[in-house]
Amino acid sequence: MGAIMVLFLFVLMLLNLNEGSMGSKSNLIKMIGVIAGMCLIITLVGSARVLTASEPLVLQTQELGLVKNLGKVLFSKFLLPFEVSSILLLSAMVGAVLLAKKEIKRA
Amino acid sequence: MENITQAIQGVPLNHYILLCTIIFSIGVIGVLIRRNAIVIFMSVELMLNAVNLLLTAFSVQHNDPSGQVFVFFIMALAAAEVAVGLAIIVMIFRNTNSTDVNILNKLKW
Repeated sequence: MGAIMVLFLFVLMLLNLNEGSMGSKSNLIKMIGVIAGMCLIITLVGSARVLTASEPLVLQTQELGLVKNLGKVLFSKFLLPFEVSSILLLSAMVGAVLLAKKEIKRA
Repeated sequence: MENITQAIQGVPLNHYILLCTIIFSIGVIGVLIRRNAIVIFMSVELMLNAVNLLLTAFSVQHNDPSGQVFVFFIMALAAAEVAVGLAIIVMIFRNTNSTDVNILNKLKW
């Protein structure tokens, strides 16, 4: 999470955006977007109202979210997705470096 | 400190669902009405985090740690997506000097 925020901050600093460089949508489009979003909220809240389960959320086992417990699950049941996600992160890093690098002039 | 823990443990599941619905919808509205690519990325991030919160809440509800492990995977995926996306934004900015997504409207066809 922190890494993502720092990435956003770095890009914002790097780009030095000014007021003129970003356009804004017309008011009609904005209104349609807000209405569509409100429709989404109403639909989701309406469907959530059907649920009657509203008892307080209590932690049944105290060590549910501890690192030890989560690590055991992560390295036994989810070992393959864990390894695949490491490859994903590596390829994303290489791709980001390749994309953001300036073009090298070929002599 | 003890008071806060007590108060957090008394929050019902429905309130988590409502909060996540509202955060997710703010993300959707942000994607729909903004044209700055960086703000659109932040909105996508908001949607992913709403889902993360819901996953942890349901993980506690069902007493199953798999939900919280899924949150790890979603965070890794979000990091990868943001890294590549921001690199693309930097490249677009270098070429067109703006981050307006409307410049790329030829990608529609």
